Amino acid sequence: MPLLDAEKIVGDYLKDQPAVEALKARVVSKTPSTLDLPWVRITLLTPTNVTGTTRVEWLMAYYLQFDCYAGRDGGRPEAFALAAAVRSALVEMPTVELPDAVATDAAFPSMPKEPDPDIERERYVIDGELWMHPKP
Amino acid sequence: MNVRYRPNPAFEEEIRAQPQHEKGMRTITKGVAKAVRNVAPERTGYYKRRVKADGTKVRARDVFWHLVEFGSIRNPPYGPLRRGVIAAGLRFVRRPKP
Repeated sequence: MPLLDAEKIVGDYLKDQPAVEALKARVVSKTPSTLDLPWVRITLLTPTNVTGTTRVEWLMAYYLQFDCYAGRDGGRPEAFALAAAVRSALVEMPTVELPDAVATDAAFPSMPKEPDPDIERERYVIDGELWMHPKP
Repeated sequence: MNVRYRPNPAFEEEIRAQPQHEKGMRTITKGVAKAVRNVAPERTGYYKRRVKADGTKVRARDVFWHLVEFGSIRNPPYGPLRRGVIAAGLRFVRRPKP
């Protein structure tokens, strides 16, 4: 099964990162029920085959959005610290052994500050591209 | 026979100035707009109807386009503009406004 569950793989990886844990941030795939502590919401926008025609759907570019929200009182500095922790962790991802996948590269097309329009809450939106393939 | 190649530093600029280039880009832009509409969420259809090709730009004229694109606490990020560009076979490169 070449297509990986990128949200789960990246989510599990981020949950174990000390910098993310230090901020008491939750790693979720949808908005948590309580908003007091910071959180990262991971959404897969689209996976794209980058292997070519020799081994289609092997190496994929997973285009993910990481919404890094501050907690109730953290404000912009907390949202930024969380975004920085997430980016640092993702950059290291190709160097660590993952349970089900091999990450080969990570890139970040952008990271705008997009405060949430529904409630007054600071947020950085990381556009992240992760290249991953299943473990051979 | 020897052939000497001299690169034209203004090559890209000259190509871009050609009317054929503009025509080609407009066709591509229409394809991107169609791809954006295809991947956009459909509740009322308002957002989809507001996505249009405008020359060589794709515009989403829904005032709440950012909610659809980036999501919020109450909305998931659908990213139709970013996904539409990729779905049209192009590479998405985000650049700030000049």
